[in-house]
Amino acid sequence: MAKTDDPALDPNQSYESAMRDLIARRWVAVWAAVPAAVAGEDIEGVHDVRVASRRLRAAMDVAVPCFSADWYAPLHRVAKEITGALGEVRDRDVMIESLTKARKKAAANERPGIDRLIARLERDRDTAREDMVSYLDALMTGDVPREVEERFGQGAAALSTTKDAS
Amino acid sequence: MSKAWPVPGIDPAGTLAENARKILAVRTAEYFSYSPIVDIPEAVEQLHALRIAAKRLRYTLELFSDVFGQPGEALIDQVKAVQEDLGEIHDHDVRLDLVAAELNELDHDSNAASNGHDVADPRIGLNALADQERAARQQRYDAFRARWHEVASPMRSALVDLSSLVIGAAPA
Repeated sequence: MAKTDDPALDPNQSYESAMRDLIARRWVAVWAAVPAAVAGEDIEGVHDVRVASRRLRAAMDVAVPCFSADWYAPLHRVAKEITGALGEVRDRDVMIESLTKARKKAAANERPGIDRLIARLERDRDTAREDMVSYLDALMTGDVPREVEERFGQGAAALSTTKDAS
Repeated sequence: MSKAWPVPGIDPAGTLAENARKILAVRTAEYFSYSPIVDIPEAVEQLHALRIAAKRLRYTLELFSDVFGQPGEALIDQVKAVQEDLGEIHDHDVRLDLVAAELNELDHDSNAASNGHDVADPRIGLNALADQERAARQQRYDAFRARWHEVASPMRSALVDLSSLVIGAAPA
């Protein structure tokens, strides 16, 4: 994932205001990455959402003391869920890619065993992908984007753009 | 997955720099708490936990890059290299488990293992794959271990310096 071109934060600003800004930016990165993951044309699309959601979690995990629990905890929980919802697909994508490379180098009598593994992983990945797409569709069309914008400001909004792109 | 170590004493009204350094101190301690298992190649779960700790440390350096400046950027690259070594080791471990499960299933399903005379027994390929994965895993582990012993001490010093800078002093 490319490094962000976020404007610099002032090390002397209050931690709470800095975290509110950082978390907003990281939600935007998640929203921006979702359409490619749903499209499924490149396995890196899923990876990019996972990375964006992990970066979001890294920020939210250390900002817990800044905000009241009822205000903050539901979205913190969603940030954790996003990473988990994409893990099954990503893990299998990586393994299929690796085994496909190994198959190219394998002797003819070694290929049936590798084919067997790839076929199993593809079945599992396809099932996991259906679940992932359902989850992301529900996420993007549900209340979360609006709640994120309400809590972290317009800087965290990407709802209309994301909906248009998906 | 191992839970992140809690960071005591975060002060929302304090400055970004003060709090970022507290967080970095904890993430640094968490990362180096795994030092004793680095020389144990069969410590599969702990090596994976170290990978997660490396990821947390890296994200902390990235998150607060405006506080840690250029010294932090240089550390990100070092942590990333360790994280990538550990990621490869983990991927090999996962594939070895997968192959073992498939071989186990074949041992309990004789029909699947001999599904026609013109198709090779899948166990041939699975055993060959397991051998390759073990060899590649060993190679990657050796590279990781060498990297760790080369960079750990200066990395720890640099991280401790960054996390304990006098408040208000800019990193070089």
